[in-house]
Amino acid sequence: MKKGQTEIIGFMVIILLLFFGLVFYFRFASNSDSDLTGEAELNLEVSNLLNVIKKQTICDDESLGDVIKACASDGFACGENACDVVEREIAEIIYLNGWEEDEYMFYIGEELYSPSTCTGNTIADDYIVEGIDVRLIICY
Amino acid sequence: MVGLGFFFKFQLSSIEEKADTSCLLSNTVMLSSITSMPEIQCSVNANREDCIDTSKLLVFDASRIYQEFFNTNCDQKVYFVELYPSVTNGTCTQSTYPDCSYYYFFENEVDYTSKVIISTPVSLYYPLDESYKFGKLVIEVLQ
Repeated sequence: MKKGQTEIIGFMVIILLLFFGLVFYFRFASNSDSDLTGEAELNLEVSNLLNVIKKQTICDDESLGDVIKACASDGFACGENACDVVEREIAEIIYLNGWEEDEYMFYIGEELYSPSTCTGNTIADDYIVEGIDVRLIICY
Repeated sequence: MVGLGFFFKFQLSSIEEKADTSCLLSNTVMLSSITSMPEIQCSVNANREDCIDTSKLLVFDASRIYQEFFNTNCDQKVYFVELYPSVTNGTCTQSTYPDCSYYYFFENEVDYTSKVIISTPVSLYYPLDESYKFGKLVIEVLQ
């Protein structure tokens, strides 16, 4: 084989490597787009779930938002300790939404009202009631 | 030839992937826009609230007014389901309301091989006893 032919083959190999490199680049670039969609959906889900929690009717015209407010001031609601109601009802709603108990944290101020803490990437939403921050955090 | 073959194969799968992503993205946006539709959203003294009024949901026919809105990108089935504290499973009609769970909102009569389900939590309002219940807006993206 002549020297010129070897050089052409070498050049073709380089072109092919560049081509495959570009193909792989575009494949990974499109994957990052779909992650963004997932995060947008999760953001919406956390925000809407906190709204559901605030409004949920628990007993005789009392909403879970009212019970959370009572819990923040160590009060009673629905005939029992308000914080017990908060912990139980939040766990039920989170479970029915399809999340495990180690995938969320619910805080009223600095006090945790979920079975465990979670780690990893998080998405959170919150609102203020009587100067106390109520926060829902989802780990994924 | 082999290079071109690979190029077109990757290009085709990339276009198909992008179409699916675009469809999913538009339906994710739809999750948010449906819950803000004035025809079904709760309102008190003309002020909107972040919940869905089930009495409005029961009588509103989305396929008559929003046909184009739903058919822009891909086919889907849209419904609301009450999750807590639900005790019944039936479809909601004027005769079964409020002892029911499923409010069908929009449905395309198409054949499909697979579906992707996306959903978001919503607060369902029942004006009869003025209560709010936990539900979900579900979109089944048909492919």
